[in-house]
Amino acid sequence: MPDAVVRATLAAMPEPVVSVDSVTKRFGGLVAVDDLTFHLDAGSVTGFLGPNGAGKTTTLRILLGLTAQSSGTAHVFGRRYHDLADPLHRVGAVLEANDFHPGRKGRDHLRTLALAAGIGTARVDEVLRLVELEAAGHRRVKTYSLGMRQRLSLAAALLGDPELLVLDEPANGLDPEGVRWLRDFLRAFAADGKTVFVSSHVLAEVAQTVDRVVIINNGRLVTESPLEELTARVAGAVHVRTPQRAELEGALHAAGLQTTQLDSDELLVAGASSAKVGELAAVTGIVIHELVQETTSLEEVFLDLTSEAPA
Amino acid sequence: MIALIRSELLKLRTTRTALALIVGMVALIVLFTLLSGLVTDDAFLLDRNNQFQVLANGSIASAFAAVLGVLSLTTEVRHGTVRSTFLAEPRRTRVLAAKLVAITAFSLVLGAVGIGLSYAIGKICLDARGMPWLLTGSDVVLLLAGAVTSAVLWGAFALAIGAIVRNQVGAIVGLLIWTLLVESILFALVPSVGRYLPGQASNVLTEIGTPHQLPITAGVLVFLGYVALAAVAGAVVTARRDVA
Repeated sequence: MPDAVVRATLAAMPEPVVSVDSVTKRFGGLVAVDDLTFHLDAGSVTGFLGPNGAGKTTTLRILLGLTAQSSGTAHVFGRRYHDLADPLHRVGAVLEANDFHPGRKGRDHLRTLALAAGIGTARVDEVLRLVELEAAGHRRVKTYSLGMRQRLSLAAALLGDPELLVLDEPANGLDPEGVRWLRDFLRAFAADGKTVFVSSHVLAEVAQTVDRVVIINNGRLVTESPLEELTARVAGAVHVRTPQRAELEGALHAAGLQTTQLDSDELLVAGASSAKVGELAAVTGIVIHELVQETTSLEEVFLDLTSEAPA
Repeated sequence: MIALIRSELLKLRTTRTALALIVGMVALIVLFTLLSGLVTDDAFLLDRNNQFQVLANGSIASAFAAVLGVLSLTTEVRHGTVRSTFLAEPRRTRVLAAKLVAITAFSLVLGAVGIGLSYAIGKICLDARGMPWLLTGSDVVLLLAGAVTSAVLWGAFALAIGAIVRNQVGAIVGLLIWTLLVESILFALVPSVGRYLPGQASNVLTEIGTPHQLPITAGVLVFLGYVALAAVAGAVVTARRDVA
């Protein structure tokens, strides 16, 4: 391809909202983030998943310029967070649920941030309404429940009407109602074409919200894929017990199914349904003693992906 | 920058800390000045240095300015608000500069209120007891300007120490032990060296007639040097360190 074409193609491609390239972070001898690379496109809702201690929080703090990486680059909107002209208008972040002075009123907390970012008081009251803290905003934060603190954090992140929302374990400590409220909120936010990057150590928490996942473990990328690819791995298996194991095995193999022998009279049939195995047994006249459909949950796939032996 | 300064001033006004410090300071100064002005012997008050001391009770404002200064960043670290502060303004040196302006403004008020109070109460006590006025014009200038300058410099110095230490309790306890214990002992044992330490150097602004003290200009310059050094160190480490 001629250079001009390459340049034109590159220019036409939308710039990733988040680009993490070969980021490594060492704390003394501990490698918290290990050569991590991933990118997020505008308008995507991405789950940042991994067990506790996988390096999610460190990665997010590097992305937001709070922590310095040992090597690699982490950019938002094509530059370091530090170099964004008006950071709160581009990126909103919820890092901890309880980053408040307990003796300061919720509304005053937002006012101090709004002042620093050149945002008017009208917007402060607007975001308080949005997270349903209008009345509570006039009380000191020490009187707030955990759910209220989470919502105040979210209000702070929304002050600048950002294009990208970064949330670190936002569902931690929320009651089911709070989790549902957050899910609906993030969906509505993303429906406006904005980008969401939300971390969690429990896939189920975000499975209904995200359309992509970035999974890390021990600081390294495990997989970066659309959620459907992960759901596709949720395949059924059938557990069958028969006195005619060898015959059934033959019939199943002939039908193109894979089997694993569990015992002299037990088989596990991968990627099949109990109906299919039962019908095949009836057609071939094989006696079946037990037929159980086993399902893997999305969570098991996730646990499987992240339970690889640590380095 | 103006916006950042206004944000820092709003932070100081929206918790009870600053107000509690002002109330505590006023109570302490009224008590100390009344005690030293009323309960002391006539002979004690017939001495220029002692009269200065009674009227300069308000210079304890420096300690309150120092507490306010230490708390400026360490409170944000303790409660985690430093994260949102640095997200709103990632250029951390600018945040520190805004804090310096805000702390200076509050220290100025603390210093002025403190010395105004002790000067007025002390003078009333002296007059009421019919004591002759032994202070010179330049004594009075030093008394008033020195206390305010000392409060402002201590606020700035403590802000910088807080930025270096970051741990709230550690910074306050460290400052207390250093000034009240380490410096006092060193100054008593080896005054030729001890007088160059920050606290002893700053005392030229709030005392007269203390033996072995540096001359006033030298003392102010030495303390200014410490403030500048701490401010640069505080800015450098704040810019470099990770915000956990």
